[in-house]
Amino acid sequence: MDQTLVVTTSLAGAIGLAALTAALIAGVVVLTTRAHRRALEHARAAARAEAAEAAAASRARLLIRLDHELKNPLTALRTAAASAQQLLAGEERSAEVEQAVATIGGSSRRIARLLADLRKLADVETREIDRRPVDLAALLELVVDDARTAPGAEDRMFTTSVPRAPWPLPQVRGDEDLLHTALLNLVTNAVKYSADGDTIEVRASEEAGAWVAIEVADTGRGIAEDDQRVVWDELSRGSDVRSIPGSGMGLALVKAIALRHDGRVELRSRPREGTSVRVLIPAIGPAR
Amino acid sequence: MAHHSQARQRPLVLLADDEPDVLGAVGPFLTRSGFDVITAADGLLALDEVDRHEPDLCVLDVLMPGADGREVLRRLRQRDDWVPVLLLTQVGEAVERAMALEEGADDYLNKPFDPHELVARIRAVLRRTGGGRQPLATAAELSSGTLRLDRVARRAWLGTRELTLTPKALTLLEYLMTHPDEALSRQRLLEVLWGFDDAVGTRAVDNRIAELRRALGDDAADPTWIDTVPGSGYRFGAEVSTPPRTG
Repeated sequence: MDQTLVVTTSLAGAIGLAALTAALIAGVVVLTTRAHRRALEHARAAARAEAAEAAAASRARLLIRLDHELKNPLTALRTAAASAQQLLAGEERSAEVEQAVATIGGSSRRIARLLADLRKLADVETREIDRRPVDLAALLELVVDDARTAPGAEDRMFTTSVPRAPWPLPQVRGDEDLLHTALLNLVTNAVKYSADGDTIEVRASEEAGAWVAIEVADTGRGIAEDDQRVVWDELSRGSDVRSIPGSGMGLALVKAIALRHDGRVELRSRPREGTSVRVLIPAIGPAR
Repeated sequence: MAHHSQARQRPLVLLADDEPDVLGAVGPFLTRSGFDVITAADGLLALDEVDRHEPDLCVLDVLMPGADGREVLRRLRQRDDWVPVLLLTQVGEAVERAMALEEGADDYLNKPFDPHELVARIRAVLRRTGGGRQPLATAAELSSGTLRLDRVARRAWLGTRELTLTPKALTLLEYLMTHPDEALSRQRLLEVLWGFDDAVGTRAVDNRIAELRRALGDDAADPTWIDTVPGSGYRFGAEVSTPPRTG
């Protein structure tokens, strides 16, 4: 009886031990698989980041070469246009000649502007940037003030909301000037691509305690679905906004600035209804 | 070396660039703008021309075969030649611009530039460097009243108190102090800070000016140092001097 008990006990123990071992092994296998998967994911993410970095570096090199090859002919062209204008002043000249000289001057200025914008983007992507605490709530106030002076802004309905409760918006770490440029681009875009009487809402919020999100939403013309995929690319301009002056560099710059701050950008838009763009930057702590 | 020939009616400008189209377009433009112009197609030729003609100012492209613009500038300064130099810089690299000033360039301009802007800069540099004074751009230390700026250490003092300034504010102060009594547009100052101008981003300049005024205790309504030029930009309104050169 005793013996049976012992045997049973030990049998049960053996079975229990086996089960435990199996469970442990399974667990280890699962853990190993998970760790392996995580490592793989990390490796993939690192590879992606590396590829993105390499692409950015290669593009920056291309821009520098382009800049280098174009700046001399453009300098000569602009100077020759200015000279022609001076030489023609006071001369008897036909309207046609005058028009031609004005076109050369104007177009070369435009190319120079475009080149400067591309250079600026490459610069933002590669230069060393300040990393100081920035109060985005205060910055947003300045941005909205500035944007209100943009042409047409007086006929838009602006609302700005920045949280005060339960606590103010956390600060972010970064370059105040660049963040200002990014936010100003978003708000002036909202003005540019909307009409009299449209609403522009600028909202700041804290996301999951880890991010500061700035959203600029408008009831403007919206972006065609096909254009939404390329809207963050440099030199991309919506197919239906050719009549509105712009370089197609604004959102590319906004994205580059967000990425340099370890942040991200999001866009929602419906044609003829409106657009919302969000910029998310990692939060570092409470404001003051 | 005396670069201000009394006999000259028009200032003599040396223009050095390896691009024939640039020389061909910019040279005549400068001539029509009231300068006598000599040209050089590379850096070594530029040094020869400086020796031969003693120009009143040199416009040097930074990228040239032989000796580039910066090398020419270095060699000139090494032999104690303080002829005013305006560098035509490459892209908007902040490092390059900081170096241009540190190495004793009196100003710089990014290509492709507006030729009228080049003429305005040349005139401003000639005005600033006239009268045989040591050009401020080449001084390691600048002072104005109780304000003192050490450009090498990148530190500034008000009397004995050291100022706490962000790097950008310090860069701005340096540019203002090396260009005293000159109305500097917000676009120009933005280019100094960032290497590019931006029609909508000039608030960055106002913010840094506000920082400087706070640090200096300078009243915007009745400034000792930094004047506001209405509708345009800013001007360093006080006298700037350099300690006597040693060595």
